Amino acid sequence: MKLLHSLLVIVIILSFNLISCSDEPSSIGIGLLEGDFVIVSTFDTKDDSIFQSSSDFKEVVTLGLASRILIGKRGDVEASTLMKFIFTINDSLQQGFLDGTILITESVIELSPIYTYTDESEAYDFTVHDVTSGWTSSGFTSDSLSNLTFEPLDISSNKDFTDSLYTFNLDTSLVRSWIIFSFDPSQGSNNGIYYKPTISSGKVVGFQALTITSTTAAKLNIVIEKPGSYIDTIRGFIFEDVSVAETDTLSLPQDQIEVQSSVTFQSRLFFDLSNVDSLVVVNNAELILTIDTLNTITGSSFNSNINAYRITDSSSIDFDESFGLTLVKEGNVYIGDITPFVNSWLNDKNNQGLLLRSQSFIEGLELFALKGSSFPVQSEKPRLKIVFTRLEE
Amino acid sequence: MKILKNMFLVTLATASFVYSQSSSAYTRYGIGDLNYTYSARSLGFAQTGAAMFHKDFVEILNPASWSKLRFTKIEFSLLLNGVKLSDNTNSGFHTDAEFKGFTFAFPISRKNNIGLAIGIVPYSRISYQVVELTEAEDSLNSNFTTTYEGDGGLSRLFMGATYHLPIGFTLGATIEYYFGKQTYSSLVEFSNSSFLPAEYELDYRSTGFGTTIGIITNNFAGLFNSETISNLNFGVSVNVISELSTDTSLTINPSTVADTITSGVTNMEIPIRVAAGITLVLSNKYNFNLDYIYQPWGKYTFGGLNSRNLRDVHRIGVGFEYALVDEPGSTTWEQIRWRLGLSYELTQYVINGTDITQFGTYAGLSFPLSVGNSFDVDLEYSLRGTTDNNLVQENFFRINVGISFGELWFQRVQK
Repeated sequence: MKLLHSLLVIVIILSFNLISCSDEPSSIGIGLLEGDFVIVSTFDTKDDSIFQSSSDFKEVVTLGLASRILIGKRGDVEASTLMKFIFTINDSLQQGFLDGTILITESVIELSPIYTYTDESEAYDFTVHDVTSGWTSSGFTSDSLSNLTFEPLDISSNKDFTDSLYTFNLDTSLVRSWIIFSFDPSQGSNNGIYYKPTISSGKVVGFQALTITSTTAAKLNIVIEKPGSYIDTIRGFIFEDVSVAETDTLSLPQDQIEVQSSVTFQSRLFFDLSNVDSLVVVNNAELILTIDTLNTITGSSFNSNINAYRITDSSSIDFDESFGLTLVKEGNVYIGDITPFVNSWLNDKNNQGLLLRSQSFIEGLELFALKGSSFPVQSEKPRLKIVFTRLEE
Repeated sequence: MKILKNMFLVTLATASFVYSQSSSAYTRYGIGDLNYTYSARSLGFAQTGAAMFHKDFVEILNPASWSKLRFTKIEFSLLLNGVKLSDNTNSGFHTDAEFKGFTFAFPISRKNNIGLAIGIVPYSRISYQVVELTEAEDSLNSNFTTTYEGDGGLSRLFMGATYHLPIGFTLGATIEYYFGKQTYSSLVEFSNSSFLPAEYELDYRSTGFGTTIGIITNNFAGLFNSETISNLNFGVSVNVISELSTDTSLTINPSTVADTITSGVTNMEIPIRVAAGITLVLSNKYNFNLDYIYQPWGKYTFGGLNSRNLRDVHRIGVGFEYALVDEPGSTTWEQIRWRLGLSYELTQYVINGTDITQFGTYAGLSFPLSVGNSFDVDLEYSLRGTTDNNLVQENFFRINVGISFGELWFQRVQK
């Protein structure tokens, strides 16, 4: 038995020594292989021309979930806003509003400015109107604007605009009708107010909108008085708000494409990869877009990123909104990794191009001007730079 | 016995943790390295034994060898493999562990030399990994490594029996089922983590049937009328495999998608293998084996095409064993079987016109655990290939460990 134990110990030691000595794999024997070789290559539309096309288009979207409401006018862009307040009136006050024993002596709206597009020093004013047709923040778009009805009379007064607060008085009789409507819907209606910029305005101002977390959204402070009894202040709470931004024309040269928030302009881009072998694996695909800095217009604060999406139906410009890839501004170009899209185009043999839009497409009015596929300088056209692997032929 | 069990488990567990590579890119061709035998005992014998009857071991070189089994046998074997690879400029040492096979055999009729055996053993093994680092060009912006890996092989499931022919020879035959997967992959990985890796995997899944038929002659020692020559046997076995139906598939595998690009079915034709040998026993103690194996790998086809990197195998092996086991009253030390062997092989590989040859030396022993049971350890050092012409030289260091259990089963009780 002693002999067996010794033999086992020797075998175990030899085994562990043998196993523990293993080196990392090396290139030894590379020359013996054939048929399995893979080649890593690059393809760059800057040097290797393939067909590409680009265009831009307007898509009307609802801005109801935006964190800013926009009011103002700059160039062709006009932004207006709808806003609605609700009230919680104590039972003891309701009769007073009904029989007129409680008076509204003042109603003031406060707006907190957080954004300017573009020049702060430009003239600025707006009118406020009583809306007479219904709307919802989730469904109202610039296309809905033609169906909106409102009283032509400006019901605002005493405007006071500072850097941190915009205030103005609102017609008290309108506020009184909203209050009564709040506890007796059989009387009157509450369709809110409509902010419309004046023609002389030269900028668009963004104010804090109603969001889940916002504390500085629009406020309506109402001073009430029961003559001989008391003076008090009650508050109207913002219930919903929505902006619409409009422009009629594309302002860029034809060899450029644009991406603009809120309006909303988006672009589509197509690279013809139909000649690419199906045995190719795309390891990395980088999209590079050159910015036209002269035509790019930005506001006081903005998200500069552009998102790219894979178009699933080019005829209706349907795209997979659940998966966007980010293009980041670096100097005068946008760069982004779109490898999943290119692999998808090749694997599914379904390349309908990609869609570009602002990452914050419902915020602000930033216009990013990009040089398009018809731009005369090859190196400044949309550029697709691919690193790919293929089997050796 | 508990120690043996534990050792086997530890070794198996260790084997599964380490990176494994048992050979070089030579195994890219054909179906890889060939296994002629499987057990530790036969390794120490230079993988010879085509003409040898085995009373206490199950060998697969010649099925006729099962005719004189004393006990019901259960055997399995594990190979720890170390290989030092060298080319003109580099060298590296790689290891792996491989389960070499399992056999079960028992005597049916000693009078008619009928024995039966079943088992599963590897027929071939592909095992290489080659890694190439490429520095980034300006346009690429990332270094990358390309890993070429081959893995898998062909296994053999067999069942066979022996019968003593009226002319005095013993015949053995098997029916065999061959199966296995051979995988050749090429993986590109980039140092820049934003780059997706690319993997091309070519898989072959082969299945088919075959047979091995062998004959071992009766004892010709009497011709020499010498007390020294105890046994002299001649043996030959022929292994034939039908065309193996082989499913093929090429899969391209980026990390985001996996897609089988091409697939199909083709045939693999593995050439016949002939093993012939002489066994000489002197003074009932000294066994000498001389074997020759021939397999015309030049006739191997895959999809009807030959490989220009394969040629016919010629292998000569000489084995020697010293054993006193049958002598009653011997001590444990005296019952140990000692083995030595030498082999020379013109392997199936021919690369760029250069034949790849292999020279092997072997040594080992069988340690008796009890009657019919043994623990076998054998060592091999072999040298294959050359560093000339940008080829690869392989220095193999192998430890083969096996256990052979034997018991009397199926005994008819006399009433």
